Amino acid sequence: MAEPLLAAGSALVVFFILHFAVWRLEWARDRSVVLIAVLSVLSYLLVVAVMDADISSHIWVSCPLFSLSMMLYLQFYMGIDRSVSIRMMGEVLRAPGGELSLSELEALYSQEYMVKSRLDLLVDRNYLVEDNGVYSCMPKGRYLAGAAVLTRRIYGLRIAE
Amino acid sequence: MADGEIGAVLTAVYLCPVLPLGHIVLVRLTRRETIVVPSLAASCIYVALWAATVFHSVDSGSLSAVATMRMLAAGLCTIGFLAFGYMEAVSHVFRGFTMGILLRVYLNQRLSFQEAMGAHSEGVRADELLEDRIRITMRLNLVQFDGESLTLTPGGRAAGKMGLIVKRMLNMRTGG
Repeated sequence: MAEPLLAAGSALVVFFILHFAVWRLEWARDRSVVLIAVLSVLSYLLVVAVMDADISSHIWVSCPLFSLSMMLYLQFYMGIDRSVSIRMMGEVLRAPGGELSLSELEALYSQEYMVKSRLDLLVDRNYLVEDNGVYSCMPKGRYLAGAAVLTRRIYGLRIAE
Repeated sequence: MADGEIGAVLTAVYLCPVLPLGHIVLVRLTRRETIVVPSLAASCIYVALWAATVFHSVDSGSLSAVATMRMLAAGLCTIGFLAFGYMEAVSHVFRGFTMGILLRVYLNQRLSFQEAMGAHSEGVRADELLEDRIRITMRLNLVQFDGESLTLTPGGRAAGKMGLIVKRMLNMRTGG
């Protein structure tokens, strides 16, 4: 059981070193999920290549173990990055005296910002196009939204316009 | 030894449709747009089926304790990976705020910024999102709100600090 634990543990250490180094670069900030997946695969392959052990002796345990660890880390990372609650608590923590009124919080973290930052992201990733302040779907956006509508129908969820 | 591990991983992979199917049935039966509880319930069925299939196909009496542990680790980690991956993917469709905005644009063909402000996430409009999060964090005893100002409980301070430290360490944007 030592080899799979060593392989998965070493791959995690290598991943965090790469993660920390690559995230210093400005371009890496907006490619988080894909880049985390790429770095995970690279880290694991690097460790397997360097390890002085027959890959078949541990891969069927170390690979699922490392994959699960990375999936849990991804959930944590996405939570920190996207969570409105975490952002809100950070703003209160940074406020003088650790206290913030609702209007001060709304000024720091406005509803407009929440929507605008997401619209900008969708435009940046070619899901939407903006024309004179009006947004419409690009083919990529139509495909994804169509898939989401189909999924919601399968689950029997409400589809509100 | 590896044969049992390969079987454990492959069985977990080919039984994985049990998870979305179980989730669909439970969501339709309960008519509640939730992810965690029905997914975990479906995961229990998934794990039970996996264990029954794997341990039925091997002579468990001939397996050493280490071999059994390796088989369990291989199979359960694969199931965990697929289950968390599924929950992450489906959460965007169920309650993703960005997906909500995209859907609103798609269903209305064209949408202005002000109309996009009406996009829903978990049944909550953008202009109600902050109040909704205050209610949730108060329920979790992370935040105190006296009707005028917000303060943090020790748990809230720890969560807020963790968020700020991780964001600073990884050079992340303010997020949220």
